[in-house]
Amino acid sequence: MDPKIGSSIKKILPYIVLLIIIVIILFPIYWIIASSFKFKKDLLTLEPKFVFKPTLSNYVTVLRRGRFIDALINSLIVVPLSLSIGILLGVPAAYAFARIKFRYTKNLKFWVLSLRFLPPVAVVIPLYLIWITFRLLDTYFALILTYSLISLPIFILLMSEYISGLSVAMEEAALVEGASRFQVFYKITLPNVMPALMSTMTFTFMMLWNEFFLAFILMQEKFTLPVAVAAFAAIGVEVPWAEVCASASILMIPPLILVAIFRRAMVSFFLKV
Amino acid sequence: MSISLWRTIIAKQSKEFFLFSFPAIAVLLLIAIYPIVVAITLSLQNVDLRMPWTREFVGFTNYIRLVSDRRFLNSLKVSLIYATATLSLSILIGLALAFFVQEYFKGKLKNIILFLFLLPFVIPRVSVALMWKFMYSPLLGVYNYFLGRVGIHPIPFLSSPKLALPSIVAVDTWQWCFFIAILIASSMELIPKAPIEAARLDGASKLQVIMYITFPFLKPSLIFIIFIKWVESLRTFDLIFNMTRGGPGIVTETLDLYVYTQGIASAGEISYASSMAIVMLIITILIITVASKWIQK
Repeated sequence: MDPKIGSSIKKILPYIVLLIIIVIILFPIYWIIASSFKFKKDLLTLEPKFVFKPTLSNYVTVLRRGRFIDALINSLIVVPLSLSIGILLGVPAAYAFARIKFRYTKNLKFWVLSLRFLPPVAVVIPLYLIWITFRLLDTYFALILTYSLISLPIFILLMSEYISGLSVAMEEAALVEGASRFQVFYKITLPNVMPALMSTMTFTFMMLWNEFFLAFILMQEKFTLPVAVAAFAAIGVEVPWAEVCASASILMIPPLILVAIFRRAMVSFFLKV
Repeated sequence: MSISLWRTIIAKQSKEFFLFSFPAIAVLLLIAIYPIVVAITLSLQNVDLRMPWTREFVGFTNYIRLVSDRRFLNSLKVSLIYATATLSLSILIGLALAFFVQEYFKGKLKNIILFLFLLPFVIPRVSVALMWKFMYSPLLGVYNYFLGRVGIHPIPFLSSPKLALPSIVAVDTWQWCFFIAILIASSMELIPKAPIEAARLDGASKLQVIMYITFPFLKPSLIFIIFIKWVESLRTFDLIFNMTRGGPGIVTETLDLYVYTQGIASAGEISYASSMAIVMLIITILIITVASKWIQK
């Protein structure tokens, strides 16, 4: 073979491989979004249509279903409130873990770390019983409190990691000057870890927004959006694919928007997870 | 400084620590530790969800029943096969992708690639499950359409007992391998360039550099990634439940799906299901302990 052709193939080859990889990543995402804009006659055919007349009718059908809107509202209530609990309780705890000397910090940290990896299935049956006993099954309160199982360990572990990375000089100076711990935490540490807090929030928001298992079992009426989307695919024998595609696409919107906004922070953030 | 002054300082610090961390720790005790205690108690009793008022201490009966429950043993096997398969596949592909990106791309293009790599991971798993279920469909699915174009008969990916589990493993791998590639690529960025250049000058081959410099550097983060992925692959309810519900038959029924069916969905035997959940917990604790020892090394 002509060596010139050989070397130019060598140069092009990585780009061809890259193109294949990108198709593997994007095709499934593209396909469900594209399908959600198809008329039923274009969607439910043996020969998939790659060129089609787009329509919003599937979205209209999905959004007209009362239960879907209810689930959307439930998610919009439960997720931000769980996130707030994670921040309000988790960030001060993270500060204590990182900055205040205490004999058992290391043991406590290991304990929180193992909770981070606790399989939800180990606690879901007792939680189900506990919320029944307190007549709290199927309430926002129960799910929000249950979700701190997810949000608290993340906030404590990640934020204490970030806070330990900051210089202590300013904080110590303020303590010597007579500032209280809380003032130091609120006025000095917190503003300094704001960027890290933002990415931890984004990450936790996505975890909670996507959560299916606990919501599915603990919420029978007031379920969240992932449960509602999954319910579309469970009706009867015939799966209503048009509605499934539209609702699954709606569910994807917030995480995709967040990643697009915070993409640089997210890529560097995952180094720490 | 006198001892008593030290004591007051330490006491003050413990008090401050307590004030800052108590609410979080209290909630975690209530929401994680208390339920675990309840689960252990339940597993030693005989409680049925249909008759929750009868409680009878039965000792290890539930655990003994597990050993001879073929459906439980099957679900344990499925869980382990599933976890091992997705773990090894996504780490191997992730490694290959990371080396590929690091070797051939840099600057803005590399950032765009890493951003695209993030997408499968952040999409809700319910959406992932449903979109792949749609694409896997024997009649309407786009994969079978392409296969049909090259003359292959429709493959019932999710309803064939042989292919169902591998098909779900493929979806899980699709969701994780690119994310793992990001993690590996970012730790590769931190490898100092000097020893690699020195080794190349001394005549080391590319393979030798990878074997003796890159890998030892990557080892800690690789162990960490393996650990995270292992634990995550043991909880796969959302993906499997929304694609096959454990079917066909019980071919794809993992431990958490069986706990759900046995404890909540149909049977309501919460005591028996709790003993399974405790087995799951013990497996996870074993992994965490082994991994943390490994990481410390």
